[in-house]
Amino acid sequence: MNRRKLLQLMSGAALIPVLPYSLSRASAFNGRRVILLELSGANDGLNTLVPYSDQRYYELRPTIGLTTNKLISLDQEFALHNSLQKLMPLWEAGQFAMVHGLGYPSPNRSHFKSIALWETGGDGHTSKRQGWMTHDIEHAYASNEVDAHGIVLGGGMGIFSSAEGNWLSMSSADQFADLKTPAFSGTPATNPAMAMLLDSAQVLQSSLNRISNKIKNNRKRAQLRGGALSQQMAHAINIINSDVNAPVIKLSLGGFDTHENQLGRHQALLKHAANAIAALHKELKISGQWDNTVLVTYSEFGRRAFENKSGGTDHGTAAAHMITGGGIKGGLYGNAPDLGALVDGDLQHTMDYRAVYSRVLADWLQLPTDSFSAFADHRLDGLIQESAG
Amino acid sequence: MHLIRNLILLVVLASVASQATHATEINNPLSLEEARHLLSRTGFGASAHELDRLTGQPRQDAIDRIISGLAIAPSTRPPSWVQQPAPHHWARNQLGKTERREFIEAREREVDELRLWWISEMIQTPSPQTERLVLFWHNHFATAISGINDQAISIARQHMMLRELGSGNLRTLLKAIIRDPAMLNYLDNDNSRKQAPNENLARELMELFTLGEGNYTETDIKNAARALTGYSKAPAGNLQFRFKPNVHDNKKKTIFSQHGNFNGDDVIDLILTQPATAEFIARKFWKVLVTEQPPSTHAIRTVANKFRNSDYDIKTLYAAILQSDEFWDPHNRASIVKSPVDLTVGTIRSTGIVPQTWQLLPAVTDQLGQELFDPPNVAGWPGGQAWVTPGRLLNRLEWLRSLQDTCDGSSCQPSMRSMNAMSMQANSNSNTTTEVPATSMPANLVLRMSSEEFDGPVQYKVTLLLGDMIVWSSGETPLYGGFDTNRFGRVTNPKQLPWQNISFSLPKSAEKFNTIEIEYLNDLSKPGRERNLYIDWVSFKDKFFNSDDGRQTNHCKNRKRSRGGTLLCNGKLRLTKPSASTPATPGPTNQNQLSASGVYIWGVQNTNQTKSGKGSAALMYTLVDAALGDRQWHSLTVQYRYKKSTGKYSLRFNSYECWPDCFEQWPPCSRTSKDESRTRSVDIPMSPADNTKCPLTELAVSDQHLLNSLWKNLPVIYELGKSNRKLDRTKVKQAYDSWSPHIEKITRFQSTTRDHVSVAEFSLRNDSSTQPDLKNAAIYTAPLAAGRTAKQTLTDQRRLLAGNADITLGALLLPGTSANQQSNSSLQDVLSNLAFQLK
Repeated sequence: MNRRKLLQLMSGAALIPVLPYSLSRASAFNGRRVILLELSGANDGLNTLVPYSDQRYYELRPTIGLTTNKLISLDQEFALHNSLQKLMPLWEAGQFAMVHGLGYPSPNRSHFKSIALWETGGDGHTSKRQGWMTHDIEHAYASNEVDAHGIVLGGGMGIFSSAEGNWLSMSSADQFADLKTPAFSGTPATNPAMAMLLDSAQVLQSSLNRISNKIKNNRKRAQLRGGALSQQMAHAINIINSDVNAPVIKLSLGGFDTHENQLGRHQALLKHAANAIAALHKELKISGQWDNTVLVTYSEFGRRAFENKSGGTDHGTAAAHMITGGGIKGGLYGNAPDLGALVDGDLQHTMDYRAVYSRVLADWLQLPTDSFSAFADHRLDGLIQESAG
Repeated sequence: MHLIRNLILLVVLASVASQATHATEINNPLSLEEARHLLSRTGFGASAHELDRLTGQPRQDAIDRIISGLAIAPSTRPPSWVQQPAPHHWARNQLGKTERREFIEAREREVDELRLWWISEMIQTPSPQTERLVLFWHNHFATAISGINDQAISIARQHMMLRELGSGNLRTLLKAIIRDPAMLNYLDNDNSRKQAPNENLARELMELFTLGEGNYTETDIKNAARALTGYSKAPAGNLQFRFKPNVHDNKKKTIFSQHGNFNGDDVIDLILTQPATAEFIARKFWKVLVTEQPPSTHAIRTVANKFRNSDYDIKTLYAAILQSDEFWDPHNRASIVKSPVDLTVGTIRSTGIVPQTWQLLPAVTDQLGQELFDPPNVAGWPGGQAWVTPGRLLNRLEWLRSLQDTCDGSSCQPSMRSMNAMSMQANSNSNTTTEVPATSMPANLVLRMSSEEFDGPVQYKVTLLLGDMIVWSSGETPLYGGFDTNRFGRVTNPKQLPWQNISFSLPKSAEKFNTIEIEYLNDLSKPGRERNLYIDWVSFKDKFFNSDDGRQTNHCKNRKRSRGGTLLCNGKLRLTKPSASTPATPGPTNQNQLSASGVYIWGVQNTNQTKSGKGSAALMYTLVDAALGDRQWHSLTVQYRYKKSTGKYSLRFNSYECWPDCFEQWPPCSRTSKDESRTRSVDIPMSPADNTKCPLTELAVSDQHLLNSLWKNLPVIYELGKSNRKLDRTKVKQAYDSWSPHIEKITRFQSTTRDHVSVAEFSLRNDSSTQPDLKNAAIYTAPLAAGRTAKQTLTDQRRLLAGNADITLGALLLPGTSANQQSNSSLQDVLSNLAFQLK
């Protein structure tokens, strides 16, 4: 056999394409989705869920500590910032939860580094490169089982960073209706690279077609007034109410880096977030999608326990986060960090944030794999209700 | 016997026969398609000019041309800061909050400038092969700026080193890599000591840089890590490589079953005795030049053997791959996914279209997954499938589609029109062309700006005033290339803002001004419709105006105050205060004046240490931008030492802590280290009547003057040091305070000492600058695609057409297509053809 022939045979054998998007593991989409809300800039957890019965809180924060007239008490110890008033119906309905003291070992105080850790599921010792839920979602759903694996409607794309899967960035639902991918006919797959590219293009094309058709057919459009997050939330609602199958939607609200004059700014930001979440609840209740939806907030870190001299707070570590949805059993979970046991002025995290990730992947989305099962924490038992969905 | 001889004969004949066919192929004239293949694999895309020159050339000549074109210097001037001494990174923790922020911002600006310059160079250079090879090594010896504390200077120097050595010898290159401060920092070798060797560099050196997994043992790594201990950098010595003999492991090591007291160079030499290295490097080249499919062992052995036999000459390896049958096999065309840099730069070079928003190209490649100088990790960019996930494919197609839209300017119109015209075979009478002005450097007013846009771009106006008199105005001007908030929402991370340097050529009459006003004219007031203008800085000649220092008025309804340079509503930024843009360069000062722009504490050792016997303490300072008479130092580090057993004081200097050097002349009594870096150290006794070796008088007169001045001014410097942030740490503060009685003592006996040499007074100058030098014109002028003006590109395209009668646009731009395969279609059709994603 001559060398040329051998090579031809070899390249012929190599024509078997790499694992195509459409033929990977397949299971039907169970309709459950999660909305991730990034509070970009680092939300001050201590002024969101306030330990108002702890005198040390007021000692640490003599000027920005929230007094009871600015609080809505949840129980004997903890109260919500009163600009979250709009979330109280959810709390009273038992569908609004907060988890105390989320963080990770060896905290990093750089905005960019720490948000990258939260978005990939790393910590101060190990950094990762893939978006934290990408592997498990891609494994559960083939590209043709969903309209997209995930859609970013605001902020960075890092949380969906993956070498595979169909993760789209789009800030307006209407854009899906307009976007046209060129027709890819007449491009034969002559080699593995081309086969892979064709596969990716077909996924993209059918994804955009399905999404745009669904959005076009949905006559009832939600309109929300307000700032950037309201816009994103309206798009999210429209995507959900158009029956677009995407297990994750990511939103982002920026401006939480409150080093100065925190009180007014933080109040406006929380109010904006609460309005948007309340609107989501209202609209999805009407469309019957609320029970299929869970919203989780995250942020790069919390803020320093003691206030600074500019009426603000500097970069910190642990913070409480919100979880709400039709399938959520409301209440306070975990243990609040001890204000008497600060390290360098920072709260010590009391629960690894990846414990929440594990619940979302395994209990809520009910994916066959859970990359964070090692972090499962029994204190979150019951957070996701069995009967939901 | 006969049988064997016949077999041998057969084998010989067979190989002669195969060489014979090889020899004829090597002399075949290149078809247009083959020329495009050669160009797009070795460079970026293929311009009409390059195609015209290579088509019809014998294959071997074309290969020779590619190889001999590999240059060690860029064709345009790199940013000027690259040549300057390193900023004082080690001292940045001692800066105040604002200064520290400015310091980091300045470094980020430098990297941005470097990225833009490199992309411009790739677009414009006559040797894209050089740039492709540098990019190859950048991906191979992947080092990320985000992993080395924003040390832009180190990443730039590494880039220059890869240029200089990347087409030479692998042995030389590897020995430079284990001495490269950016790499040593990135892989944590700079703190690797014999007591605790860090294995990171040793491991990646074997796993990713040379041998590949499976071709070494854990023992090899452990021992190589020991051999690399002490390979570090000199923080106050211009961040140069420094070998630290004291922490280098000098004991016997075992690597690949060889025993010896190996150092880093020995590790490289040992690695190069392993056949796996040549194969590993050959495979990596193969993957980017031939196909991403694994090659046959035979094919790789053939080129790897040539590589080894040439003692690792990189050009030999490169040529061997280009000469291989596989490289020319049509089956291997259109088999490699273009990287984002390849897609953007290659398309620009191939079509001649330079988008108006060319300055955003670094941001575009970042968005597409390839941020230059910041690969995801030491393994480099994953490439292949990862470049074209559905989400990224969408972005790639959109960028290609936008190429024409962003191209209203005269710079790209003619060639674009001609490309479309060509596809319709109506190319005879094209429009007259306007020539792109040649790169020039007039007195340009440069504004670094960015915007968020919604339904159209930001409109702004720049006005220059002298007092109340308007000397120049730009008129209402659109800022193209803003971040589309309609599509992507608000920018949450300021790093995502698409910054551009907008440049205005000023008439002579306008060069005298003292105020710059930038007015934002067309805000959208409705919520959710975000159109905003951002201004980073403005520069003119050597003046640099930071927007933070400006006064801002806006017409925001809620009277929200925003940071200088952030215009969220119609309003005005007024800049009057320039800050120095060049590093402090003190003119000649008085012989009796010792000055510096900063005094940093380098280290402190407590004088109260109770360790018996060896009780010595030190107070170490670095004077930055120091000057004495006409002598200047970038950094001058001095140690005031106290020996407890004798109660005597001395001054110590180490050559690696000064830049360019501590002394005019090192005295013969100084110590020279025996290692490769030949660093020098000296202790000069300063206590009265201390006659230990190396007295002050052994120094040159000018150096005696320096030492006397440093000694005399210790009390002043000590006082200055008290406000240093380093003393915020209790332990350092205690150590510093322990020197207080000594300072008093020194002051007392100084007043009684006679001065042999005149002594200079010390003063702190107020000219320190953290701003980068941004006067480089290269990045303010749009690059010419493939170095050709629009007019030349037209001529090139016509010539090419004349020689290839039935050519189509598809045949020109798509891989794996010969002239007659592709029907006529528009440029947009060709760019959106999936095959265009491949090369």
